[in-house]
Amino acid sequence: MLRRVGIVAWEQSKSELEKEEPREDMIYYLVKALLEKNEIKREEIDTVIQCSNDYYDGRTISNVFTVVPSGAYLKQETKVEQDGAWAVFYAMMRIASGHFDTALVVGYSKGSEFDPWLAHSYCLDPTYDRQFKFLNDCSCSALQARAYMEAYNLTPQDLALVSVKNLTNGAKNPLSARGFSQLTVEQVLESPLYSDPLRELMCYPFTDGACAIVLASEEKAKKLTDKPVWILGVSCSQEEAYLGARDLTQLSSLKKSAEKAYKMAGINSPSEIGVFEVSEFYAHQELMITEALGLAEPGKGAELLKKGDTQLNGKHPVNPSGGALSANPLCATGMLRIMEAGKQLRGEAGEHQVDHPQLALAHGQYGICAQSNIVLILGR
Amino acid sequence: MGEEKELKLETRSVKGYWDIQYRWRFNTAYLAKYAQGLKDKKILGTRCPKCQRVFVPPTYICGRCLVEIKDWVELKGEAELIAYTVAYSAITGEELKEPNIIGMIKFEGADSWSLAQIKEIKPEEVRIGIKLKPVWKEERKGQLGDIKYFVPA
Repeated sequence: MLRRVGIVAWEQSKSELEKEEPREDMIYYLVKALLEKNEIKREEIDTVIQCSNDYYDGRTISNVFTVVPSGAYLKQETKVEQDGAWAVFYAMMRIASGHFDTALVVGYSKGSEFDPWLAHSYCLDPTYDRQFKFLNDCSCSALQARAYMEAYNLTPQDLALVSVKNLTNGAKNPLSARGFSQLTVEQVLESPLYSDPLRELMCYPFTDGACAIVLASEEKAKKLTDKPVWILGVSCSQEEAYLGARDLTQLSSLKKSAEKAYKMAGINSPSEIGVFEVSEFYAHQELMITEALGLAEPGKGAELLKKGDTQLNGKHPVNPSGGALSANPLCATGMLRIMEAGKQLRGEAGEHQVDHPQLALAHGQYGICAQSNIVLILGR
Repeated sequence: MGEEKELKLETRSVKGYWDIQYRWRFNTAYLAKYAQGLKDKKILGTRCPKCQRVFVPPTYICGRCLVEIKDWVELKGEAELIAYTVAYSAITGEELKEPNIIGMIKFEGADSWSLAQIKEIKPEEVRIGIKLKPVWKEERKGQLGDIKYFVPA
């Protein structure tokens, strides 16, 4: 990298199944709180990157409506329409280029105002698979779950264990949208069946929420905070859109991204990383993610979980915050992972704090069945 | 966020939808040839000249090799179930009267998977690996809908 880039401040709106606040209010109060709490003036922000999606907002070029509440008025503002983790990556590149010293990233969506699963069916090819009219985000992910389970002889119980871990972790996170202080595999398997084998508690909840993060060059970061979190490695890649041309039993693009991010950060093995915050939109995806990250051999993600390694107090804690199963405000989700990873490094994660991690990994995804993946390695 | 909000929150919702019609132009040389094959009860695919992978439905650019695919192959109509889900609601959320079995199938000789609706089998009896065959429409027009659905072979 041309110069080091640090994360200096973050803030999130409490994730909720339905927020009364309109999106503009949500963003305004979020950005105000972020700047005030961290004593950063709007004038100190050089560029603003927003992350939203026209289909989620129901209006095109939707960022033009949120320029004012996000503090982007008369600034170099632009938008990423993937996941907020890519917006953070974009902000990092702008700062690394030397043209900007600070960047504000804002990601948001209001899942209560539309049907996210149906919105994702518009990702499908209009001349082919959309014509069948039986695929939405959930049924596509169910096909992925079934292909993966069949390849490695996994059971719905294995998937339910992921829900139990993340949803009980979610109960420890006061800002998550969903959590249960006690939850059993049986309760997960008794929740309504949406698209076999996926049940309600194995699917992300439609969520309202937002996250904002300030990044800065090394020099500026040290002025803005005495505890910057550095981006040590980052990489992303994607598979092709058509599901039938992909190997649904593994996340090839995440594997590639992780290998490159590890190399950039000078990491030889993922076991050097103390905490993992990943975007598992459906329970089976967390197992696939741990495999793609190299924590487990292909098909052994469930064994890793059953050994307790990915628990909050395990060897490789995964989603101590509760992950996307606890809250998935699309576009903000990857940013929440980055923020949570940062909180863990600073020792500020509260009830879901893990034991002194030196390095943290944050993961974001977008597209049907995690077509595209990004990995960031963070350190103090 | 803690702080008291200065504005009193009074909101209401309004309903809305996209009201734009599209006319998607697409490369008919491929999908139309595939659909034309269906009229004669033929399953056609394309084969990448470099990696030799066979695509059904046909594609004309290989993502792995970044080359144009021009070679056609005819496959047997037999397919194997690779993945499936049983949907209990429509994509728009309404509950279905009968659950819908959606499959990813692989035609014998193909490397990619095709989407398929599966009937004449109970959801609890569906297993990955079962062999399937297409049920053709009596009057075929060279359209994707010429295959009504798939049933166990």
